[in-house]
Amino acid sequence: MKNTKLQLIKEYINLKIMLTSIGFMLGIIILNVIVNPRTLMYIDSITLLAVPLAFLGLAELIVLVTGEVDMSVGAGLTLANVVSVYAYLYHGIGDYRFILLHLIIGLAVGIVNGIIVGLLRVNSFLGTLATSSIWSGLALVILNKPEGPIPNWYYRLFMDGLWGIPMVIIGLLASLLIWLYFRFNKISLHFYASGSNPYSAFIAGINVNLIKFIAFTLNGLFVGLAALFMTGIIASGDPKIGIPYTLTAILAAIIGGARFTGGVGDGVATICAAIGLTFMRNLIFSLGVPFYQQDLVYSAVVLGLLAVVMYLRGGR
Amino acid sequence: MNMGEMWRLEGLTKSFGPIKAVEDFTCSLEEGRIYGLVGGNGAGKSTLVRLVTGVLKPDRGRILKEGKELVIRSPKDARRYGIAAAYQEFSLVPDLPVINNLLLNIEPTKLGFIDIDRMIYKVAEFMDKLGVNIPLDKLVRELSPSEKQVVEIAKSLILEPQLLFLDEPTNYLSEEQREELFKTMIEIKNNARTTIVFISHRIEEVFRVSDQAIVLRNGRLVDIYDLGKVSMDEVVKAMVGELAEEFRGYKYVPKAAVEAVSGKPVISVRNLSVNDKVKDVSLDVGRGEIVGLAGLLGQGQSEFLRAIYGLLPYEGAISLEGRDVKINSPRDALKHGIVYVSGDTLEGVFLLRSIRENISLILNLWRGLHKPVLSKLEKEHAVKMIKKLNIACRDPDQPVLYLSGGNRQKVYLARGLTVNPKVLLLDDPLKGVDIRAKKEILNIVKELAGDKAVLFFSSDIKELLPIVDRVLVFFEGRIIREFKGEELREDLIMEASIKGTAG
Repeated sequence: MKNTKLQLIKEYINLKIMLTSIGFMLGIIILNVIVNPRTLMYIDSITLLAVPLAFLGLAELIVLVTGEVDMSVGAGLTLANVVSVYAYLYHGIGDYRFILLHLIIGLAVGIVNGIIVGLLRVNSFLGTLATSSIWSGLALVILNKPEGPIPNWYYRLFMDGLWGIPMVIIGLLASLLIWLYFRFNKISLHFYASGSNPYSAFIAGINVNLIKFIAFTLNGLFVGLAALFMTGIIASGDPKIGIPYTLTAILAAIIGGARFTGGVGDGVATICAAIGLTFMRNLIFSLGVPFYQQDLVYSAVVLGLLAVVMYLRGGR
Repeated sequence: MNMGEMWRLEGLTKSFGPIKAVEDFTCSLEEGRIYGLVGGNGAGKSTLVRLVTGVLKPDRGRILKEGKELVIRSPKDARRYGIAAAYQEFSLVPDLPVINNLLLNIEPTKLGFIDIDRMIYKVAEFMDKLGVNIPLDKLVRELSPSEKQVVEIAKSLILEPQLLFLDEPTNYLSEEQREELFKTMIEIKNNARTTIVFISHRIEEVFRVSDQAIVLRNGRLVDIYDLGKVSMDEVVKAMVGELAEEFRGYKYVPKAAVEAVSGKPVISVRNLSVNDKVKDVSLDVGRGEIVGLAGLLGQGQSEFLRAIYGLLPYEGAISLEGRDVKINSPRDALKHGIVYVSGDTLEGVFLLRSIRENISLILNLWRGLHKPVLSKLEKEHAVKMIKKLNIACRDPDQPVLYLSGGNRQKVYLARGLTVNPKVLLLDDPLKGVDIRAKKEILNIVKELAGDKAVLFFSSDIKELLPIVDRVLVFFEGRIIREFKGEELREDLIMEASIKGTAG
């Protein structure tokens, strides 16, 4: 009986995929250090860059688990960032409401996606691709160029940390705890069930469409959290910041065990994958790839990784 | 209302398009009884189960419990009223562990968290009582078919339902497991006073455990029999029914083709097995011969035909005109002149493409990719086939989407005939087709059979009788009977199909 419990917990935290992902993360970091030992000095600021991606990865994962996909996480992040900074610059909203605004925009974006996919039953790829364009367009209307600054106290938070604890620790811990809270909550089982076999879930009395709506709502919350960290890192509002993040977020979730067919995937592994991918970007930089070629090389490597992961999975 | 009447189904009706699956079904069920629900193919058994469990919405009719009408809009509602089912096609979630499948949507929680201790305690005890030993943490996708079957049954039992449907629960079970299940059924019937509705293609099982048999035919209730008082033959007679009007005067006419068969067979299959679905099937089909495959649905007929077409891996030998061939894919099969047409037009046709493209798709199969499509040839061929099969359409460039079910089926068949096959495999192509198209398709097959070997599976065997030379009855993956000549009668074949190895 004790044994069953242990096995079950292992199954819930998906030990195999988690270890693979941790291996991937450590491998890239070590490679980074070998290529450029000075990486060690900046390890905290590089990891901080991974926090928004970790939240976006979780946002993507939670939707992939239910068998849908979200093409709009990057654009959603941009919108939350731009609207919040705009509100500070032009309407002086610079207190705790600055934080709240990020979360509200994220949530709103998620709810709209949830209505479109869960309730109106539009194909999630098409639906979120469309909303992605809308959020991006909206962000450009609000701020047509990067603008700053952000409230000083918020800027200091990312310099000095909260009560002396660096924001990178807070960010990673928060993502981890939120995920584990979700994973050991009853509703996560219904998420996995709905993605794995919607018909069986329906027969068990689960409202699959409602689950998808909730998944997108939670996804929005994660997007808002990602935006919070992104704003702190870039210390400005940038209408172009989120665009490349959608693909990387999907890749993080895929390395984290997710499949487009739904029903699988692990959050801890996704967070580790996000860190690994961020260090990979740094690795390409360290290798001396010229600035204008970095996107090309990074995207090619991401694509290659995706192919490798898919191939390894197909073999099993 | 008589004593003990617990459940009442009143006037339940459900149609799928033109097909009436269940029609005006009314019956009362008492508590603490086991009812065998029996009937031939398409009698409406599984549909009835889904109507009561809220998976399907009835067009008409109502369900009452102790005289009160129930509002069942979804499986969730049905569960609340104490109705549960083990489904024939399973209702399991492959990516969750066994334990979470058993407790799906009834997970014990502590402050919203999954209470793993209580979960294990609850299930372990329950599985112990059932005498089942399957690791609870194993993912369902890793289970064997028989383990999945056990979990599916356990999943319905753990809800402690008052009305329990078991739809073909013994399909994948071993002898001992079956005995175990029957013991459990009788136990919960006596102790928990559960009403059980039991469906099985093995008629002797129904007789063993049921108190009464509810006989369905063509979606209608025939009668309810007290199994203590009637013999198996009487129930089987009720399931088969009277010989259909149009066949009452039907006299077997020996066909010219049969004589021609004496030569060497076109296709000869030896000891063909497909997983657990087909076991050791051997047969020969001669030139010009139409062999009907009969039996209850799901006895391996489809798998047998799909294996020959290379859609399923098989063991055994297939030879064509005396030459041994190995068929690994549909491409291999087509190369050897074997064509397969199923009754599933969604699988067979490209709805959004034109009739011309659908029919001529394999016309250029061997031409090589770099050569242009000969659209003139394509069109000529399509027009020829449309005329030959009498496909009702405006013009050959109309998308198949706008055609009726019968005409879609004809398009599918027309494509198969493009390569002028030696062997034609038909997998229940008449289901979901209107009467006129049925007759036309049968005529086409009969006409074409001249130089081909045809294997024709139909879930409604009486439709085939006018054109077949022989009928083979499948039961649990084996051929159990062969009918030919004067014996080609619907009632005899149905009886053999139902009785299976029990008869």
